[in-house]
Amino acid sequence: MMRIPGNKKGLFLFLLLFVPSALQSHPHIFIDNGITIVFDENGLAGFRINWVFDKVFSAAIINDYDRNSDKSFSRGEIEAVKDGAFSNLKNFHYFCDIAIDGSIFQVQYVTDFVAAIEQSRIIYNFFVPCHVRATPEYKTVTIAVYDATYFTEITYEDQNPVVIEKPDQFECNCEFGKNEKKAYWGGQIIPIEARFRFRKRQ
Amino acid sequence: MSGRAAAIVFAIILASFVSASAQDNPFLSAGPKEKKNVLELEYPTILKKIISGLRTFQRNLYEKMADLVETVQDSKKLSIIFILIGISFFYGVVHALGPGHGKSIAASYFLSTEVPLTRGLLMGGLIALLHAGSAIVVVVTLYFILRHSYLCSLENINRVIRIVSHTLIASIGLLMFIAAIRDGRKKQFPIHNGGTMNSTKRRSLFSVALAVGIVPCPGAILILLFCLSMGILTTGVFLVLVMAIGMGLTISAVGATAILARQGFSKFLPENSKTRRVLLTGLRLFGSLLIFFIGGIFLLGNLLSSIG
Repeated sequence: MMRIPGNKKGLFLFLLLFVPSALQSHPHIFIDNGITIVFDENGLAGFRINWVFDKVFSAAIINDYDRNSDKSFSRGEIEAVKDGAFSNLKNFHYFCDIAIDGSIFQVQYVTDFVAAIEQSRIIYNFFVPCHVRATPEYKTVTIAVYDATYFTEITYEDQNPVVIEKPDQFECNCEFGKNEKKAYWGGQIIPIEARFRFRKRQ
Repeated sequence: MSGRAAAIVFAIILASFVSASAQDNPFLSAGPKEKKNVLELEYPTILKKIISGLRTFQRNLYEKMADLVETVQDSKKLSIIFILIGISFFYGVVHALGPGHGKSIAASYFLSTEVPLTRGLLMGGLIALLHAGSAIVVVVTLYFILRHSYLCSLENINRVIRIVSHTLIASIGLLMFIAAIRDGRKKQFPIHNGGTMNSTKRRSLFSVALAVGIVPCPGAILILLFCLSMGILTTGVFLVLVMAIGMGLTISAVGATAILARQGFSKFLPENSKTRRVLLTGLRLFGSLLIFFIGGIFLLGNLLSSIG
């Protein structure tokens, strides 16, 4: 049990008044995240990201953008969702923290954005292009998906949080776990990172 | 207090102000254009564990509440409604532990001003009620005007209300600071009046509660929108009011802690001494300056993000 010296009790009490605010205990949006690492004939092509939102935020988006209330998004409605409730994420690099052999790769754009409604939840699916040519030497890439403003809490899908789609000519092994070096919000939130290395098969 | 301890105290207080500015939804076109600079501190492990537990608990409550609202929409079983009321209350308690909701202002105010304990409880309840009431007014008004496109409109309206709120908070802090200096110069400074309320104190307490409370609670807004989408707005309004009772409890607890901390501090100071006068004036100046800086920092952050 933590012991507080008598003469510090006042200080501790005083700090308690402010600490809860500093610790930011409430995100407003919750996402279950899935990552697919996609290879093409040259090597890494990028990442397909799949976000399943919580019911409450989903309801707000559906109410705003499913104009004909048919519980699905038409092409026009998807464009409206993209403009109104997705494109601003460009300013946050779409929450993707990517590094190639230790060098930061800042995501400037994404492609193939699709929004859908499934069982009262909205789903965003998009592709993050990140081309890394495969060589006989291993290359290491890491990707962590998190909202550093902590307005959104991003967790991973229970089943297959990371999937690899690759042709046979490449070797690839992937680890998945917390990266304490990327902890934020007073060290409270530790992003989960997919770390993989790949090369041309010998 | 050592220099290191003073630095930690200052950093935590500053972090509590700055971090609370991150209330904008990054998804929306009307949302923020960049991550606001938040003072990053490494918190003690025990605090991390407590807050992590609270976070998980809150998420579970939030999801349970959403599930039950869906169930209530289908069947109006009394037992489910009672469970929903209980969950909304606890959600309010935990939700108000997060950033914003006026806790730092309430704490600063009560450190600065001597008032009876009951006024601390009253202020907490008032802030929570206004906070939830403001969310209800904004959402319901937009519902009747727009029917759609809530999120971006809400984001824009929220920003304007926040600017008004922070301007008021900074102004109140400044006025309190000026009054503290003015009284400090008087030879017969009323250093101890037993915490009784006079009309000036009453006015300033209500002004602070109003300035803080007019900002709609983001959590309440999302719950209202969810209930609206289910076609059960009245249930949503009721749940948000229950949630406000829970939030009021948390804010009141913070306010009461500040009042007790001040009372404890003042009890150890010898009556009618110069030390007492100097220290209580110092506390008053410190509390009013905190209020001024909280309002000022938030106001600046909101103005910059509006310009950006």
